[in-house]
Amino acid sequence: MKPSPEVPLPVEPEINTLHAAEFARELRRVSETLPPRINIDAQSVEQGLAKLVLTLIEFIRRLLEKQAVRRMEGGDLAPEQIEELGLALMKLEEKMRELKAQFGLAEEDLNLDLGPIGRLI
Amino acid sequence: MADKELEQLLDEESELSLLETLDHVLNRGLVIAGEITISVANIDLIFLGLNILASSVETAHEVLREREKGPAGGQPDGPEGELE
Amino acid sequence: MNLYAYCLGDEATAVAVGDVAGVAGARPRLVARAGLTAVVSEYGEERIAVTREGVLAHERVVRRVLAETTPLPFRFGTIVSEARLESYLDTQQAKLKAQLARVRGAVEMSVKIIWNREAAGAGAEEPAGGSGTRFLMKKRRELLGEGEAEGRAAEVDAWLGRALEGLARESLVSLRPSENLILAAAHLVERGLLADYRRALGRARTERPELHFLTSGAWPPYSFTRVDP
Repeated sequence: MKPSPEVPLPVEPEINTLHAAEFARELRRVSETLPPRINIDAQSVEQGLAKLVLTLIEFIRRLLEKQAVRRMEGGDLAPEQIEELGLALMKLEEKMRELKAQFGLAEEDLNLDLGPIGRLI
Repeated sequence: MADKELEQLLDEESELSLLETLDHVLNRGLVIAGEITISVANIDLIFLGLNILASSVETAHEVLREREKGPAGGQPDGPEGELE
Repeated sequence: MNLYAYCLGDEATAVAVGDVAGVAGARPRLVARAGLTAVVSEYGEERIAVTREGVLAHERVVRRVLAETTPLPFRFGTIVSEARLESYLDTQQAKLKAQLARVRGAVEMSVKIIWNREAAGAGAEEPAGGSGTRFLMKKRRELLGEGEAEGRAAEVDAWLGRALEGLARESLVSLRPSENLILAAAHLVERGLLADYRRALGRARTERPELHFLTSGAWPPYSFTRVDP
């Protein structure tokens, strides 16, 4: 017993926008955070793991920055403390830049797709 | 001049169409084998699409790189020694 | 010999798929089991690269089915042995049938919204203090911008929901999936309501000239295949 036929559809999906180039740019960016491949040859294993580790460090680093700003706003830090905190985080950001360069990773490479939750960073 | 503009417009639109298609078929849909799902309290939190990895699906880079080669370009070689 | 799997339906999926060229030029066929019907084609390799031809072939076949009935599409690149497919159908049949019921008679429509990057605010005067302090002040400015962006995305999300009230059986929205994308939404829309949906969307677009829209569809329900909400 075949249920009543569903409303038929045209075969091609219509894509409708006035800003093709802009959206192409964004979609390209979105597609670049697909889950990284894990390769078995030595160099890419290293890079695959580096990506994973650096992504997690980057995530924590950004949390630290947010927390530092919150503390600064909270008004309970002395000016010298703010300066120390800022310098340390600045060095951390610089260090991460070096590490990314060392492993040939760009900012967009460091991300994890958490399914329905979205991306880690 | 107008032809070149038209060509570029068509290119942009067909690239957009491909990107929009990729956005649907690569990240979603049913997966049969090799997907690791890590759940906590019955809520799926982390999906590692191993089927994608094991099938050596290149990232969209490959598609776009291939597109830049033009219709005469062959498929780029995959990297060696991939995880089965 | 493996199978490339395109999509899944139930007994209603008795669609003539043989006349469409599938992946690697193979002719698709149907595999019926456990009250389900899978659309597959022969595939000789273990893996498949993401190529324009492959992706379009995949979509072409699923679309052929979609023209007549709504299937559950497989992710691109689903390659299995016939035995594995059969065991999948056997063991997952209840879940799959539930998913089919969820999407029956409907299709997926997509809306993506971008805003124009407004000109960055004039450089705030640098506060006095050492480089560490200036670093934190810069971060503070960036985070404030972030907060605003999140608020805006939530507002656009709510607005879009109101504009399409009653027209989508289900909505899945991803807020700020990338820096400039405010949101990416997938709507599950009854076939019979497509015209109304498109009209409502057309009207809504004109209400927000500061937003840029990309709408597309109809798609097979790729976004609506997961079991959890």
